Amino acid sequence: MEFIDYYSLLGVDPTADDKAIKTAYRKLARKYHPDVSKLPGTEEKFKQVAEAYEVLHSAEKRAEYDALREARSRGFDAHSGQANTDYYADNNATANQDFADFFNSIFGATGSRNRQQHRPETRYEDVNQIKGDDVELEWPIMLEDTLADTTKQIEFIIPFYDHQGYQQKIKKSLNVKIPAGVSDGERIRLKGQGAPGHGNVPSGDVYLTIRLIPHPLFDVEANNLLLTLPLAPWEAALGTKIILPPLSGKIQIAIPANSQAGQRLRVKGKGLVGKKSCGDLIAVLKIVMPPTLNDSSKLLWAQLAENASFDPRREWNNPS
Amino acid sequence: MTPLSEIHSPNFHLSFEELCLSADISKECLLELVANDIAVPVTGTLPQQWQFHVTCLIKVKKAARLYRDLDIDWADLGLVLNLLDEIEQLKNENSQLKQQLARFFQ
Repeated sequence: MEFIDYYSLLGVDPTADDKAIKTAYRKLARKYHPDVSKLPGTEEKFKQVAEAYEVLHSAEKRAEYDALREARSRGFDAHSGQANTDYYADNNATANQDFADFFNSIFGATGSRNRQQHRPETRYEDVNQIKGDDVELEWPIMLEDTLADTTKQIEFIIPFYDHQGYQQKIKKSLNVKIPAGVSDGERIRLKGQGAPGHGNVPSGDVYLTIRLIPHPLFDVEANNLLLTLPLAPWEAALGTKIILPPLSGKIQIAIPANSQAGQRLRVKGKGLVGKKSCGDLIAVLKIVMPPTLNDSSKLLWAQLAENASFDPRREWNNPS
Repeated sequence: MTPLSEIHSPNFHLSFEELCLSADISKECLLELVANDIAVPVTGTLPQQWQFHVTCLIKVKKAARLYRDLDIDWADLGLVLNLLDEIEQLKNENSQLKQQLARFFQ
């Protein structure tokens, strides 16, 4: 277990007063709070910062921590009464587990639970009657999974503190129904599947936030499906019929003559299943030039250039 | 394997007591959240009659976490939550538009 320097973690001097510690905590908490920052690793960083603050803003805990810190600097572990080379022997634990272990080693196994008692909002006054934590998870699903009611398996690990305050893990494997038409960011609640409660109170719940995996061809805009449709210049000029790549079925679309790049063609009711009605499939036209031109193609383009009176930059000559 | 889990429909509602229990917050805390328009009951005029939409639960839990961890005033919490939602919405929109643009210029 590695010694955690709470002062350097908060970026304050060991002689810092309560106000400086609180200011440093607030600054870091705003940066790393999981409800504020979605960057990877910030949640763990916030837990470390919160733990450091919990110790340093309490006069009693800070004094105990300072004594341990001082003893360590003299090469002796005041807490266990052993030389600190033995005390910090476990180098294989993860950084986060180190934090929990380190905290518990100083303030006892119930230290973590005590943090819950400090919450002004905590409903259960008896520490042995704490509802299990809810767990929020992001669940990546394919666009195809939203077209009809689907059942998929999900596996996850829930960390929780047992009644003695030690961190435990429980592995869950569930079959979950994905309702047709579910959209990115929507949540599915799995009642009672979160962390176990202490005593006779219920387990927490699991909230799965749906995250649609980007599709290689289709984009989603509300209930509408967007498809970028590449066209050769002559297809855009003369019009054509194209069979679209399937998501839920075969669809043929008519490209009118004189179509423009960026033009949107709508196929009603062929988008995603919605709460009230189906969305539309929207083809966004993209005109693609052939990568190379052979001699006969060049000749045809030259004939077109000679005969066409089209000036795509006409507006430049008549700026309004 | 655990059988199919219970999934609440979007129309599921929670009473005042149920919301306090589910979010693990005190009654006083929920009263503050309602007073500051952070939790808005869909029906009822008195707390014992209030019914909240189930989606309100996530917002209430988030508000309680921010109040506890960042020491934000009740009155400022609504603004903070709205701004956080707006940031998330704009990030998602930006990411979608970037993806569409990339397809167009590929």
